Amino acid sequence: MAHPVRLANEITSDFGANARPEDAFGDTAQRTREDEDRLRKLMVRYQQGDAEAVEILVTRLSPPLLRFCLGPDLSRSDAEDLLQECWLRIHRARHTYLPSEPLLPWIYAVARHTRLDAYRRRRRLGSREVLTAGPPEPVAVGPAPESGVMELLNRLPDGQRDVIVMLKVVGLSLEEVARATASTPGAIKQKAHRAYASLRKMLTADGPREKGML
Amino acid sequence: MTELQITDAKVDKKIDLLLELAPAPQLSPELHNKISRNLTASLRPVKPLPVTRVLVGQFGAIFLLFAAALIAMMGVTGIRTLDAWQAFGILAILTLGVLLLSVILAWQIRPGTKQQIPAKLSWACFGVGFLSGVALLFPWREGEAFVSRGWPCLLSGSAVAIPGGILFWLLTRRGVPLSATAFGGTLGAIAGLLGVTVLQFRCIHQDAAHLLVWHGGVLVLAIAAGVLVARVLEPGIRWSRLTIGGKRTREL
Repeated sequence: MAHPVRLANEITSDFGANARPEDAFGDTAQRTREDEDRLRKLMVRYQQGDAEAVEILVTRLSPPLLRFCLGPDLSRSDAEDLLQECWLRIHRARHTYLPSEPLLPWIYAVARHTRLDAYRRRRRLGSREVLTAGPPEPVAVGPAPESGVMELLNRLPDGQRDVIVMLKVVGLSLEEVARATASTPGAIKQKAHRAYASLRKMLTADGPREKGML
Repeated sequence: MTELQITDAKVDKKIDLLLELAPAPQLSPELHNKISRNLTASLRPVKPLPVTRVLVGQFGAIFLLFAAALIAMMGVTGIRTLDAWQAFGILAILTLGVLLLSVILAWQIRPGTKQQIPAKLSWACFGVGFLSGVALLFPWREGEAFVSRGWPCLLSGSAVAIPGGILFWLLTRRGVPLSATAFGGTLGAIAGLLGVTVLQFRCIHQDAAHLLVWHGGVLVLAIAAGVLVARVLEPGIRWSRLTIGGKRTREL
């Protein structure tokens, strides 16, 4: 697996210092105003019962939602189950979306709680499980393979990971993340700051040979 | 030496870049189709929840009507013993409390709402407002039969709070509260406030110690009960009606 720092350096050198990441890849993490408006209109059509809008929303939002669902203790298939549950909850709660409000904080608020509930459920089930004398052969289902930086993110505490994914990967603003987590922008800023401090430590501790590349 | 020259800002910039470039995991066409099929199977137009100010208006109006009906039933002997300042002061505190808690409740039932005041802070604000208002407005008298006069107030206040809590729960059923603690506590607080309001009109023991302990106690009990009940019932209260294509999601 390519080391994240090396990967970043390669990309920067390939596309020049001023190159925007979206120049390199078709998909952009930074949302535009038009994007936001389009999503809102689709959500309104979804509320009105338009099947085509559902299809587009699922196509557009599922990959970042799946990324959000993937965690350190989840296999890919668990994350996909979680994604399905997430969409069911979005479906169930669609009447609570207000068209004048931004859509993504609403979506990620529901997604975050779906994940939280799944975590609690797993913990509850785990505490009730009784180990037998001769357990069957374990099925080799490990955590989903992740790119270097996501692997680093998975080592962060859940709260900090969520904030960084929403801020930097999904491209939400501080205020939008605050909405999604029922928190304040100040608290989010503090969490992001702590997460960055941990990421910095991890990067320098994990790749001593790469330090010179920084 | 190069290592020492690495600045935090430079590392942060690299982290930003890496995060922005992290490729999104792709969905298999089967999974995509399954999700779309499940959602469209039960797709029908839905009426969006009203905007926050409409919800606040509804909660306020229901509170007023319910409180008025209970006061008419239980009497107004208590409020008659107050002077103009005391009556104005306590009614102002109760009105502000209803407004504040209605706003918080409206925020709680809609995911992704900008919550300018966290729910717990709002309970604390109202609690401090009530305590200081009562301490300043009402006389501190020597307490005779403090407990025997007090507990009937605690009981009747709690008895009012229970149907109040159920009523507000019914009103907020269309919403999707994500935090059981915040939702249950706010529901409890507004139900407790209903109990305090009715007691304020009915109770003849209008001295500070009695009001703080026995009337304030209704509020504390109601918040605690709200939090407890919501935590026990969670997540059933949120997603109990989650059905897709006529099937409960657990069956899917």
